[in-house]
Amino acid sequence: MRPALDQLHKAFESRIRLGIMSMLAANESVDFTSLKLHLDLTDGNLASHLKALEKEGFIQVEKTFVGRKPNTEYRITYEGRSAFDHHLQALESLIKKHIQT
Amino acid sequence: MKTHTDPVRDLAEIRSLMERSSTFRALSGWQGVLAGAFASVGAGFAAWGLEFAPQAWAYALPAEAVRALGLTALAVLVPAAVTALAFSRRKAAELGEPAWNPTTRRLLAGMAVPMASGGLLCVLGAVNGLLGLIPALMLLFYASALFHAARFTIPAVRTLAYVQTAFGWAAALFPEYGLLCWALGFGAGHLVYGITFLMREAR
Repeated sequence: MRPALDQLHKAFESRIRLGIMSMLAANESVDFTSLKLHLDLTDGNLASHLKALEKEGFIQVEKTFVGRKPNTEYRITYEGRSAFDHHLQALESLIKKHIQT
Repeated sequence: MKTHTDPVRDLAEIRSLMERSSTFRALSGWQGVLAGAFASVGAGFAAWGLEFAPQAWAYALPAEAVRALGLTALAVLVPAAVTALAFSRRKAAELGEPAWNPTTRRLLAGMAVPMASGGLLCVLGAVNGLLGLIPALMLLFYASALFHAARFTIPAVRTLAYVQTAFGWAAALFPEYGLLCWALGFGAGHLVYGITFLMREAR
């Protein structure tokens, strides 16, 4: 395996997880419905990816009530942001290397 | 397992998601056109109907005239706000987004504070005989609200905020032209913003 590929975090191998992290990196917090809408996923599919990212310690979940409706907000954690930044850098260096060769 | 092989596409996708999810896009040029039209009519009525013609910040009118001015301001503000919300809702539906999403919430919550402060200060100014300062207060506080909104939406809003700031300061420094500045900022400013928006969309 090429060295730059090692730098790509396993958790981001999935396009969906990368998408979730992108949205959380750009916003203070994002609710379940917005994630579902922008990533075009079913509830179950999204929930399982969110669970995995939570287990990784990359995101933080906040459950509240808006009136009587439950509302779940997700935030990126410090670890999540640094892993995401790291992943972006790795992607960029892959592109640079590709241009050089 | 398949590994990433297309970092260019990944980065493009990340960028687009970051942008789309953090930008309020449910805007229409008609919001500007209508707000500009309401404001122009309101300013015309204040100038010719109510003979609002301050020469300095300190400018008092009989209580009845102050009330009429207040009602004129509301008659501009309420229809402009209602039509703006209606067009945003329609645009959100076109984009397939819920009208009341976290971006909308952040946008409106942030705008509400400078708008409420400005509105209260205008009422206090009117009560204390400072009618000549009110056009400047309205323009400057509205501009603050727009600067906040610009963080969450299209860049044209920031330009509009600078325009309102410029007319706001002109109104503050030259209160005898306060109403004219108000008409140029709220009326012409919004009309130009709305028309350019519509023209760009048509292309």
